[in-house]
Amino acid sequence: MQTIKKIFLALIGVAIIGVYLKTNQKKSSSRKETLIIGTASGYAPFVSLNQNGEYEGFDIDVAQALAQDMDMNLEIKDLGSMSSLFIALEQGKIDAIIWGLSITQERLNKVAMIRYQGEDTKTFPLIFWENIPNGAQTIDQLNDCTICTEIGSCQEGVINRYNFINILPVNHVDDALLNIQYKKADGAIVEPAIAKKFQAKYPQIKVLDLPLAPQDQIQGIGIAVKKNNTQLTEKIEASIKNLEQNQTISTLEKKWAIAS
Amino acid sequence: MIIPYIPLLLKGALVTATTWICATVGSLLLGTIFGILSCNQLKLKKLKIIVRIFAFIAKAVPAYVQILIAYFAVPTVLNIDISNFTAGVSALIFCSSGYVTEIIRSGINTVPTSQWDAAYVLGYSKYQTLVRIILPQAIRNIFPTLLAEFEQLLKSTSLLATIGVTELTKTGMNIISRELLPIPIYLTLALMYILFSTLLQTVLLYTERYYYDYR
Repeated sequence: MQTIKKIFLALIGVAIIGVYLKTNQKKSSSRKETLIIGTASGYAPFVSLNQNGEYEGFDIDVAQALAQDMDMNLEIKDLGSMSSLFIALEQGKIDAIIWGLSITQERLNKVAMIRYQGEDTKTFPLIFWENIPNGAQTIDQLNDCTICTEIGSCQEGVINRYNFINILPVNHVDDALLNIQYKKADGAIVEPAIAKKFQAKYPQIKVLDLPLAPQDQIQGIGIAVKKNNTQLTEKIEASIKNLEQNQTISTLEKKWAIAS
Repeated sequence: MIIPYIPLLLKGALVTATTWICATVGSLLLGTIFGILSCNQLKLKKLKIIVRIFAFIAKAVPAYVQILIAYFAVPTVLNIDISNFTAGVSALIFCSSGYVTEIIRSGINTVPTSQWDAAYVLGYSKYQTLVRIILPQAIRNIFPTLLAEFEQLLKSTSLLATIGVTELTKTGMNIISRELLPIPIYLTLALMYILFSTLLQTVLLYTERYYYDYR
């Protein structure tokens, strides 16, 4: 019994130390205001962890440049998924989302979005492993094919309109690659930047562009802010303008190879 | 390809281990208290009903949903701000303690009533009987079941990835997004979880054997 007690007490000790260390990660002691940015790692080249476990990517650099321009401290919150990010924004846990988010009309109805990268997109790439089924030239020829889409993405909204397509929802866009590679799905619908990334690694990926209806067209990539937070929206808009004028954004686009 | 990421994976493994230890200790504490309160011999009828309802809810709601509630709903209702780690661990404690409560309760109930009676005859108080006579026997009976529950808890730590805790699975997902080689990375993750489980089994089985021999 004594041994059990000792082990149990040791576990309690380790647990207390663990909680203490995890909850006392020091924030900046500076008196500047803090800009809390929500994002989700595992979305290279926008946000991911490097080999040292530090956040890096185009969005992280943009967030840092933005905070610097706004003369604010920066706090990055990794919230794991798109749904978590939007809930956190709604609840005020974060000030803004920077996560390679496409600006769509549907999103603009819910949140304010400030464009910081990308151009208007009138097509979404449908990607296929080695061959496009039936040698299809248009989506109408993909009758009864299974297409992967990331849950909660704007691509999901688009592909859902095609009743003759079987949809395979996945939690993460990288799982779409796995699904087409191992023939669990015929294809996947992804962001143009992600399609480029996949093709760079796997040249055997074939792309079929899906024209978008006017209401689905993408107006670049944007920072999402709560709709009623006009003060912050205006501040971010002004700072993004500065970052565009002083070439910071274009330099970062080149650094992370996501130039439009 | 994976070699440069080994330190990052080890960092993720450390977060997984910390999460598991915190959740295990919390659920063991809570589950033991509730298990004792709901055992037949103590005859605490009202408390027993409350504990049974708690255990029922904890077991009925999926851990994933509990994690989302703990991170988003609870802080809003209570108007507090908690980190994703704290919320995730709290949810795992809540979820697992439902099972631990049932395990401890059934363990105590399997000890024959005559043991309680004999202890009372010898002048032991209720507390002394429970701690010195009943619990040691109960723990012995339920050790394998508890071990299985805590192994399950280890795997549940991967659910914390959904709220951004950079544990082992989330670390793996990060590497996949950079390297786009899912299979080797998923296999590495599986191997690391197997190593974790092996370590856990070895320590707990050694403890069990030592405990039996000691007694």
